[in-house]
Amino acid sequence: MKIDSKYLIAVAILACCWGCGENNKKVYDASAIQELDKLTETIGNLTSCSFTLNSQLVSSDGTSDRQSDVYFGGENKMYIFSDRNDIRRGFWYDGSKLSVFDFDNKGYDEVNAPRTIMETIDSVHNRYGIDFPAADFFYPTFTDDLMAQFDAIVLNGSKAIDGADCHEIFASNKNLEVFIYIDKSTKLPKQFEIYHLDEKKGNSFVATFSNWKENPNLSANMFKFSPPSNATKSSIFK
Amino acid sequence: MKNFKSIYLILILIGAFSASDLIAQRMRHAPAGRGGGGGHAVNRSSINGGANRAATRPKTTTPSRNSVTPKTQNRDLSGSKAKVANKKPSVSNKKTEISNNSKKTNISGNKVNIDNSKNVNVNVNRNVHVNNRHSNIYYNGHRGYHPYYYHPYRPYAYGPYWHPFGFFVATMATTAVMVSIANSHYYYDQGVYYTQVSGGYNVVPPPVNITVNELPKEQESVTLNDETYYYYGGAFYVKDDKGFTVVEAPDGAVVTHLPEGAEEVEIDGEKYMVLNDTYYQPLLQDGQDMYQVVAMESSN
Repeated sequence: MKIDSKYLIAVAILACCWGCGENNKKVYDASAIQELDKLTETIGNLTSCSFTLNSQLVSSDGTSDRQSDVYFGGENKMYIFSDRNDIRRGFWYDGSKLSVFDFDNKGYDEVNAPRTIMETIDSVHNRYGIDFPAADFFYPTFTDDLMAQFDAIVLNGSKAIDGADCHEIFASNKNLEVFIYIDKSTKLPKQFEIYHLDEKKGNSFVATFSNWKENPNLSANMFKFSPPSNATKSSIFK
Repeated sequence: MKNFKSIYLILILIGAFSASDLIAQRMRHAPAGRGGGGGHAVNRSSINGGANRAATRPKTTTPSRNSVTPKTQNRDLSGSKAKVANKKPSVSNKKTEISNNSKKTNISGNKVNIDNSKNVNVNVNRNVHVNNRHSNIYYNGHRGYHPYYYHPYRPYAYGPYWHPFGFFVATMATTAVMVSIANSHYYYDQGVYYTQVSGGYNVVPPPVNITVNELPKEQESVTLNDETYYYYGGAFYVKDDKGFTVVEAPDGAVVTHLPEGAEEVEIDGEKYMVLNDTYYQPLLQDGQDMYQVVAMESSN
């Protein structure tokens, strides 16, 4: 019996879609989404903030530790001091220009930057592959972004992180599992953990927030950079 | 055939968007600045324009506990957290790393500095080290001291009326006024304090708690954690109705200039300036060479 090849392909596609649908059944826990919305709203209400982020990335290349002190002033000012495996860099964004200074090699670089912090983070990430610490949390669409990318988001209960009583939210898709801890009292992120399930299985990223300051008075000067006399222009943004 | 092409296109798109690589800032987001939801009013004072929620969302449920269980095994929470939480570099670790860099880049600079500056002596291995507690203190919103950044000491020239501690003058300027505290009398002239000695006057460090009417125009206003200090010639003052009163150097204060008379000391491979028993760490702020008051403690 001769079977029409088009018929076979169509059946195969349908079977595939059905299978995918079964495996990717989406579960969005209303309580988890509510807590994520509160977090997104709390961050969206900040007019300035500062925090410290300690992170550890584990990959096949080894372990990389990073500590970042982050300062956001309004929608268009940012300063980050980052110490990654004892390589220290500063990033200054003043609303029109993003500057980076390598404290150890005394090299600096500057690029024109978009109008806001979030556009700048987006732009630098897309153009130069530079990640800003915990930037995901600061997108105004954080909850929706999570829902768009994860098949399951549930509230797993409570857990104390560094003495802070936190909601534990678990999100997963076929490639990743993410745990997000939200401080119950401040509605701000306390910790997040990312574990790979895909070909990078074994890779993980854990980051802990501390020293949150909500709406501090930050001097405009701290977001401006002018290169020191003994610094040299380098191609750090490339 | 047209339907087949549509299905094929959809499959390609699904495949493309499932290639997730989320580490830190790795999620796909609604384009920054444009927002994903309908009718989102941008809050210009917010750090991100204000929270934005999609007009329509996938259905939410109330799942039973443990309905979704993590596959990740060996999630060494306590271990990973402990490592991360303790990442805050200790001062001693930092010093090692910075010391190496200083050696690579600053040796010639130091020699030039030492040769050219008659007032600079470099002493090594003082029995003190930076007090670790600064890492848990905020200074103007910045946790801990600023990163160490060596720059050679260039004594600031305040003007002809400025003299370093120990300087001797035979006659006192007519503009000097006498100020007293605790039965000790001093002459004060344009930011400099003198005591009378045989045949003239010696410059002395500003006595703590003494009050003067005015400071020279080169004074700096230094804000530290909502307190305003006035700095001139290595001395800090607070202002009240009576004038400017000398105070101990506030821990963490950042100043632009150090006057003549400071001493460069090397502690754990890093160079600090010492003036009137106050230690100043060189740093870079906004591209400008500056100094921060740092608290030391005995190593013994």
